[in-house]
Amino acid sequence: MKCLRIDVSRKLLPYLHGILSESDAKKIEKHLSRCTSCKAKANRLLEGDSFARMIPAVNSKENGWSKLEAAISREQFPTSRVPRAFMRACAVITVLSVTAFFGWRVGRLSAKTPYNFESDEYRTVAIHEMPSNTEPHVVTEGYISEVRFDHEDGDLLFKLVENLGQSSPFVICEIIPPSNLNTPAVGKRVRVYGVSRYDAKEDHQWYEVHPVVAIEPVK
Amino acid sequence: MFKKLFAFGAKTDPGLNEQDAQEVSLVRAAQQGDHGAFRMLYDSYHGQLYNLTYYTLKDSQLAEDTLQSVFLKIYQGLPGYRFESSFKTWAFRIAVNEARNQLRNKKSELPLTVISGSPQEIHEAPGPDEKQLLQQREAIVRRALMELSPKMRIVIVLKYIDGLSYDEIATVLDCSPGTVASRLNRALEKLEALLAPFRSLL
Repeated sequence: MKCLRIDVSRKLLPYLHGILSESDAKKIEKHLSRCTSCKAKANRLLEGDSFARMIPAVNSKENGWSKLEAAISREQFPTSRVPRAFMRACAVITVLSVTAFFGWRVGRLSAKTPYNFESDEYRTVAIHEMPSNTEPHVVTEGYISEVRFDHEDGDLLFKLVENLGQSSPFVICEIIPPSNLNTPAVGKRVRVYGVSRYDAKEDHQWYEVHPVVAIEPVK
Repeated sequence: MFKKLFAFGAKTDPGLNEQDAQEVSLVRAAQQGDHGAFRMLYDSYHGQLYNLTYYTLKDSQLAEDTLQSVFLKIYQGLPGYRFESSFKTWAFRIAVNEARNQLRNKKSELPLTVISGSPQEIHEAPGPDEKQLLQQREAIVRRALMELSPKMRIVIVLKYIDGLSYDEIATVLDCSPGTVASRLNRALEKLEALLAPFRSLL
């Protein structure tokens, strides 16, 4: 017959886990000694508990930090909360400044970088090898076939191809503000350092170097 | 590293143990924009939170992507974090909420017996070696866990894999410790019912 002592039922698992007070534990023990229904339930819980302890922990296979680092590189780290209107004004000023900056430097190319990076930490990957690459930090080389400015988030994008005149294979490279990298010019051959990723959006589905951390001209 | 952390003048509660005090210092340093400190927090919780997202979502790639959003939200939320709960429960709470959001578009999966075979079929299979046996056991238990409702899976993972206390789980799930016990109760009974036919294999 099913036991109607809800108070006991509720405390059964904390009792089995040994976290009840001494007086409560004694009450449960006393009840269990004469209630077959609750004793059966306690046995089921113990069995379930032993099964739950067998559940294996799983390990992540990805190097998530590199991706996260790339994502937070977009963030301006605020040390205190500031009014939203002020943030909005800052965002507008930033976008305008970046637009003006990129407009001013169009056509110029240099190897300047705002990041302190060790070039030997970047694995050389040809553009056509991007699909099989598993390294987060890559350096790839090619010709710039297109340059675009993304007005929505202030990024500067350029398309890198292995051969001018051939639209693929290609990789999309994104310079994210704030950045003092100069806008590369179409037709130039460059070496691009940055974080490798795949853009899975339905209308994208391409490989990217995003963010670009350095650009070197290749002669 | 720690010299640098303490240079920020992190105040710690004298009631905290050394590990908690170190974490408070790390969080305060991260709040000041110290990426090294944030990396250490990431390394501390990445594994536990991955288990939570993986077992909640039942999809490793989705779990990885969700984990990325979780840590980004933690990063974005750090300036507003006021130590009202421990960093651990705060981080787990963000992870639970994010995983629940991701769950909305998930499709249901095949029942346990379809995936792992009936107990008779498994008995008749060629005798596996020890490693295979362990893998088989793990697979059976894992699949049984996946059969539980998301609410039950979450509470089981928080308790048995991530090792949170009743009080910590209650804070993460925003409920009372009594509710935690009640959910765990139902989850364990269900797990027992699902795995009882496989007992001889476990």
